[in-house]
Amino acid sequence: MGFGILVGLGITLFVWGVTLYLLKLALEAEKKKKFS
Amino acid sequence: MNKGQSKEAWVKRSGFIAAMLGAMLGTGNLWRFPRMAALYGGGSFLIPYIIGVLMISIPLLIAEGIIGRGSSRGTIAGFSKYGGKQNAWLGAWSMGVNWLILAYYAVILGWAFRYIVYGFQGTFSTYIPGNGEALWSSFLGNPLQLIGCLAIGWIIVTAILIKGIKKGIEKVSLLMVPLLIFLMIILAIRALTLPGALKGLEYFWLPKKEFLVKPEAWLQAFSQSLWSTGAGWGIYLTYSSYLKKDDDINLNSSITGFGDSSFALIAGLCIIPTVAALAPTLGVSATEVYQSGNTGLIFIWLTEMFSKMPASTLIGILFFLAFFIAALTSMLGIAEVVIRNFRDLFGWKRRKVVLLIAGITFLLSLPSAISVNFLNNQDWVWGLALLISALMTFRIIIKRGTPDARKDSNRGSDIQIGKWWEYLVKWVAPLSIICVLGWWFLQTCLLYPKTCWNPTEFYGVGTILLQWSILLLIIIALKGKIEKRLPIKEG
Repeated sequence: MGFGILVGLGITLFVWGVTLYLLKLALEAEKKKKFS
Repeated sequence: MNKGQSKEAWVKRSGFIAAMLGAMLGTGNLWRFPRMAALYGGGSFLIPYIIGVLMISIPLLIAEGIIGRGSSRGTIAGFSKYGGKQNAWLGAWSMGVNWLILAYYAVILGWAFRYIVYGFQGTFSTYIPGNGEALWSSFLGNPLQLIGCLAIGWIIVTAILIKGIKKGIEKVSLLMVPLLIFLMIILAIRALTLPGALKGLEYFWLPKKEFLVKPEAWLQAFSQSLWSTGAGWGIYLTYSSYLKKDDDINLNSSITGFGDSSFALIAGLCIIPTVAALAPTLGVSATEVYQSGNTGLIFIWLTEMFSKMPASTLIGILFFLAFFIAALTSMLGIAEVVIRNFRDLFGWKRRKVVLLIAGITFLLSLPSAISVNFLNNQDWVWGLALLISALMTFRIIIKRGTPDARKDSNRGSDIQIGKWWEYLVKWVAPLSIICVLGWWFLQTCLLYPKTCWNPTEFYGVGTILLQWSILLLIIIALKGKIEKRLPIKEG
């Protein structure tokens, strides 16, 4: 297995990371709205 | 309360996100994405796929969100509000396409149900080589059983839809979507720990350079990103119509696009290593398995592969349970597009509309239940029609004026979109979709030069043009009656 595999691994981690970050933003916004 | 006025709304933002993800995480993530990624260059496929999600799907989801939240209506009244009464028929096209997709999608839900039952009966653990195909053929050859499974699927879907947005779709999605993701993670871990699974990882992640310059791989990736994220279907528009006026659009749309892609990648990590590890034990190559099509991969080959695993019964049940949930929550979204429009236009109670739509669609499902060729034909014809629906959404947003539409979208949203979104929805995304559509037609004509224009052939341009024309004629015939009911006044 060469370094080329890092391309797919990188894309996968990028997509998962962005999804989790966006979900975190949404949950924080939901909490703020509830308490404002 | 005025005609069509609806009190329904999402209780929680997490409920809306779960419902959206539920609608988008469908069977395409499980049976099409891994096949396409494996056949079109692995890592090389992922690059155009992500570009498609970023440049076409998410901007399109935002456009749908603007129309849905702004109008608090379905596709017909929503398009009419933003594009004028004369464009209401475009929304009717979108509804019609979803209705016809619903008809064959219900059959797939029935298949998933039957295969869960096969799992409980221990069928997969007693397999001998060749049983996968034999079981699938005998199942397809039993119309009574197929219609029975279809009916069970419809009963479950109807029961949820009758409960409405809050107690039905939102509640079910909040329960089912996390369960679906959990099941797929478990199955991916199982797949990755099989001996020989690393070969699958290489197959999935390693870019094959030749595919990066292959137009077919790019067009397949763009098509997959549109079908998978549900952009342009009208589902996001419909679900957004139950949002409040200051609820977010931009962040929710991005979560939907990225969330769907995340799930597709988990599905890839579940299916591709399993095929790489176990296809050789069945005497077939991985490519042959992927080339056997969506149903061939899931219902024939994967079941054979489960039989080779320890705890095959449990693995089979968990996989088909995940497949069933994916199909079920997607069906709720597709059905809601039709239900919302009917409620808008006629002002009927939800229960009446749901029962009417379920009854009619059950009858429309029967030809697909009895003939898998007919089902594949419908998937081909109406899958491509969704690309037209996407173009119609762009037309409405351009008619609204993209600067104003962007202001609408940024109002109440947790992240702001810049002027780049206007270029994407005006030029990049519509032109990309036109290229994809033109390529599908061209490729079909090149593959089937003699039969391509014959409308009685299951795969061709002729069957598409015939069926699209029939839908269009029905819409034209009803255009005047629809326009008479518009605009629907706010209460």
